[in-house]
Amino acid sequence: MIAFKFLALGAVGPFTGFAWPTPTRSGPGAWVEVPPESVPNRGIHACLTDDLSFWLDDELWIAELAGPVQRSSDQLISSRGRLLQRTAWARDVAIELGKACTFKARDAAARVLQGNGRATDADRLLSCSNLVELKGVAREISGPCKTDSLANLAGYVADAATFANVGEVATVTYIVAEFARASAGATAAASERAWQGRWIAERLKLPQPDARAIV
Amino acid sequence: MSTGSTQDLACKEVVELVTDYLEQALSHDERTRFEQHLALCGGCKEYLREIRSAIDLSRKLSRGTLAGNVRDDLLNLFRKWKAG
Repeated sequence: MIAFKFLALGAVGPFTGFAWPTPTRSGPGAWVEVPPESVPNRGIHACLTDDLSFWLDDELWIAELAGPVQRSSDQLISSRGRLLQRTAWARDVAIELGKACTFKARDAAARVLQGNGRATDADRLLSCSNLVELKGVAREISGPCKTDSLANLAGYVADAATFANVGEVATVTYIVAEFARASAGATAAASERAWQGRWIAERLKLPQPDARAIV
Repeated sequence: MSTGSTQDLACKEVVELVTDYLEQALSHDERTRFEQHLALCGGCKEYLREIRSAIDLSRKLSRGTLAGNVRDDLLNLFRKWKAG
């Protein structure tokens, strides 16, 4: 089945250091295999669209998994896999993602503030047009007191804007998912992660994996 | 940064688990959490890379690659450390 795989520069596994065989003119990269009995403790890891933002790295590849494919803890695991094609994921796209996540959290925080009688704070957040301005305003609203849950939401926005502004995009996606968790619980955090993944898929026009192949 | 999920690993825990990770002694879920931490923590990713490099380098060492005076110096340092 088709799946996605983030790798470090040079098609290298970011945790294992394994150098993946890349596609050539004659076709996809060579198959990489582990003994089927070693799955799931060892295996070929990839992910579906919804899980993309957990694994951000330098390169995003479209991969093919073969054999029984299991889904577990935000990833897919199989005993065989190969790289099909490198996507257009790059630093500038990552920075766009960080900005989109941050302003989405900004809008959500503004709605909560508005609904709790703090229209002025909400309007101040909504008036921000760039990350530096948003970071400053959100930090002012959050203030030093972390016991005010509404102010704390603005704190998440300030944190996201801070990291988005320096291009730490994986951290931004994490903060915004935690913002969703703090606002509306674990389901909201999962929905946020799925939204982030869909953003990547739509931006890069990724193919839709066929999840029916998952056992 | 603001508060995180209770399931998230802290950097200190990653350091404590790194040997188990490299020896493939973590459960599947533990390893996933470990790697999810690495995915967003450049410092821990670099730490893992350094540990791997140290292991790889130490595998290449043999008795003959260590000059005699270096060996003696190291043994003296070790004895002092044990005594102190």
